Amino acid sequence: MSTRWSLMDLVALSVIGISCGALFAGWNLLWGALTPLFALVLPLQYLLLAGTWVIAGPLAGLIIKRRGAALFGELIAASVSFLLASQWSIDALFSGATQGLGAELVFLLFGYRRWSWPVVVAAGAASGIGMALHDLPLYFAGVDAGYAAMLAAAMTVSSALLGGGGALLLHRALRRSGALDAIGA
Amino acid sequence: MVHLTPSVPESPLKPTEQATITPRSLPEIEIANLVWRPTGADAPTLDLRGFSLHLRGGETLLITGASGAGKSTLAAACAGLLGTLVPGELQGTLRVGGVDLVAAADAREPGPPATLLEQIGVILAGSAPRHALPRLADDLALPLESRGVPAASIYMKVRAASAAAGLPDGAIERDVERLSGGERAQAAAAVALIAEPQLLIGDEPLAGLDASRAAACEAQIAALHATRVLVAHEPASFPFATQKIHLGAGRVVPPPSARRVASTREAPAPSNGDARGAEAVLQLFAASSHERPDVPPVSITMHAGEVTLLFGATGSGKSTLLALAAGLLPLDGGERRVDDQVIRYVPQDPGLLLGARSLAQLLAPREVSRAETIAAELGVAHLIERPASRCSDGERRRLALALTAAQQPTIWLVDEPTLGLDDAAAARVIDLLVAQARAGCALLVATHDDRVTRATPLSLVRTVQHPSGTSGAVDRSERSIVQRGVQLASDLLSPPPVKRLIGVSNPLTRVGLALFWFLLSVISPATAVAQGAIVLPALIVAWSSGVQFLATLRLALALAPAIAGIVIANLIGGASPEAAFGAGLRLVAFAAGSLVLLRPFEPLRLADAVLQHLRAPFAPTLTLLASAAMLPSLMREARERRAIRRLSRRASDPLLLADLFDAAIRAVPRLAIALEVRGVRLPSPLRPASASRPSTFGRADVLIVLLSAGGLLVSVARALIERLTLAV
Repeated sequence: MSTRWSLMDLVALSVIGISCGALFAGWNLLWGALTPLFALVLPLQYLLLAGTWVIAGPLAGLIIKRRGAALFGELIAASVSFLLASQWSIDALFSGATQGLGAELVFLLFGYRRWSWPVVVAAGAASGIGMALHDLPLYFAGVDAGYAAMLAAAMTVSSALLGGGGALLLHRALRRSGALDAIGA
Repeated sequence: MVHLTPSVPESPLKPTEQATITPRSLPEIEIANLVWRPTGADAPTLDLRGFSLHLRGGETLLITGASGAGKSTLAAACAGLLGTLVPGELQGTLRVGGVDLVAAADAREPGPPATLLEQIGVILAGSAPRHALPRLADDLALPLESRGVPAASIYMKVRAASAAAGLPDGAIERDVERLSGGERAQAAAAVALIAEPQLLIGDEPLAGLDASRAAACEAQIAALHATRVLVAHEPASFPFATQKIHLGAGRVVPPPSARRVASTREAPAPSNGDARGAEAVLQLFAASSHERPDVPPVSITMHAGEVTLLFGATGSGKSTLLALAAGLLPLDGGERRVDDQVIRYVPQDPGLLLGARSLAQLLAPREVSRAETIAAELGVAHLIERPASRCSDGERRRLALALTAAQQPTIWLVDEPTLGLDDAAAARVIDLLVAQARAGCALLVATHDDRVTRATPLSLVRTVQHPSGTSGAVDRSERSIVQRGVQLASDLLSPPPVKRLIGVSNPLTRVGLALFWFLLSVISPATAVAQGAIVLPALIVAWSSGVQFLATLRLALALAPAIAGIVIANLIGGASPEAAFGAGLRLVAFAAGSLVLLRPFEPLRLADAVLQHLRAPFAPTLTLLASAAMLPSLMREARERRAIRRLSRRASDPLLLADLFDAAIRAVPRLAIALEVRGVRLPSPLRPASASRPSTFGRADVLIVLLSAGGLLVSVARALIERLTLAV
């Protein structure tokens, strides 16, 4: 695996990151609108929706297959979400960093060689753990251990399914449409 | 005999070029046994074994051949793009300007070697946009910035290049996307020529231009003091060429003997009768759309059995008329009358119809046999299984026509059907369209191409000269009451005199303020909110130096329930009320930081600021900027593709998301090449880049910093005083 980035890889990374960022911006609004409905069962909202926020990392890693792609893909997406003025403000960058780092570590563990579905789902789950490590101290500092564990589990499962699984589905659609051939991915 | 300076017609466009010939030798090109196989292809797409060529400095090589013959591939190889930026395998000999490009490809260099990149200008082919930055002035400035041309002279050079390419006054202030197909071709030439290249690679530089503009562009290319590699369909193009190579299916073949388009201008079949007087199937009356405010209202009537040829100068709004007729643009003024008809639209960019898929994937089972017949008539039968992403522009155009014909529409709306096609292929396309009219379909064809005019039987044709251009048109769109209300509210919140007084704040200052706020609220949310009262003036300044009312409203709407939700969830989770409210307060504090960012998304100013003040690396920053700037057009493309597919009842992807990512990935090679040929390269820049748009800090920034610091001091002082009084 070549570690040298060409401009083609860099453009692919930023285009993926920015498209995911646009998705995040829409998701932020949806999240805000649905929170009152789910306030009594917030872990359920995390389970159903939170995973979409980590999709950029597994997707960028899967398409570009290079060191750093997952981390920077998620970071770029998070900066778009931040610059489009979300309710999380600059905190989006920090959650993006922890989530991207989770996916990146899983890809690193497999030496950037294995891209089968369990690896990608694991990368999604690791992103979810990153999300929990960031969100729980910041937004749920005072809650019971049981409730916190429930939230963390919801984030991890959701990220594995929506983030990892979603990335796999999108990647398959792109591969089938032939779009990936042109960038040699 | 070596032609160091080919005899060229005197060009009135660039008289200075002649005078400034330097003794520096121009790059030479050496090609031998060149073979190129792109990654993922099973066979080479360019195979020049047994062929060699030596082009001396100042000579012109003309590459001709049918659509899909490998012309663009050879041109891209000469630009050093193959095997480096574009993944694949390059073999044989290819030396350009002393640089061994096969060795560079073998070494997997991430892009063309810097010594080569510095001296080339590339005109990219294709009907899709070929720009890197949205506004023409910025796009034209990029090749100069990446070469470190002093910032002071950039704007002047940009204006001169735009005028020399024949673009109208004021074009440089417009978005490239808003230019017409022909104006984009002129802009592409201007980008290639602006840095005074010593090697010009021109891939169909004249495609899409009307006759007089094509002649002007040709003269400009001829006058250039450079080695030239030009691509065209016909061996007779560019008479100043000193060497010629004719390709067929990726190999060198003898050029065909001179021929004309087979004339089909015979008498109409008696049974067909006169098309005039036939029923009107589609009518537009003074139709206009707010999405194309530059184009004045248009009217047109289409009859069954008639080909309506739509002429008009480059940029007169022909494509807009087609999109209005197809019902793809929202109709805000006038009227569109159409009864039960099967309408199909073949856009100028066939990629919108095909995506990256193959024709076979797009066809419904019952359409396959018909599509195969049409594809055979158009000479693309062998491409039915090939993904469109691996076909040339001309092949895609014909595949899109075959796809359309297979659906048997009664109304055809076709944008530039022969653009980028050689004479033989163009004749086949025209035959197809004529046969459709004879069969009773109504066709509206926008074209610049006089081959279409010549070959279409007079009895079937009606021509419409599109009245006026986009360039001089004024914005006629009426503002709605809602829009006026929003404007009024924004003006009340940040009065224009205040805005003028404090100016617009630098995006870096606003990001800094958001960061400051974030850190403060992480340390102590309560302090941050208390601080908020004091730093409110700073907020207001930041806000009025660039507030966007609607975005504020949207943020508030998203925020209020989010805060409530977090507080309730914390309480349910067993947190103490203080801790729960603390979490809610923290979110408020974050949002306050976000508030200062509320402006229309402006990646350009932010990129300028981080390049100039934070010394961010040039290529990654520009890449991010260009990708971010592309987002609106990607969204539009995704929507447009869905609309076009819905027209043909082909909404196979249920999600807009899949379309968005498909459009995004498909745009990657285009954008990467556009950036690379403008001198944006990895791993190291050509030269330390210059900045054509200075990023400055003004009154608003000083106010924000002073007020924030003042607020912090006051709140610290207050806390100290409280401590002291308690202690006392």
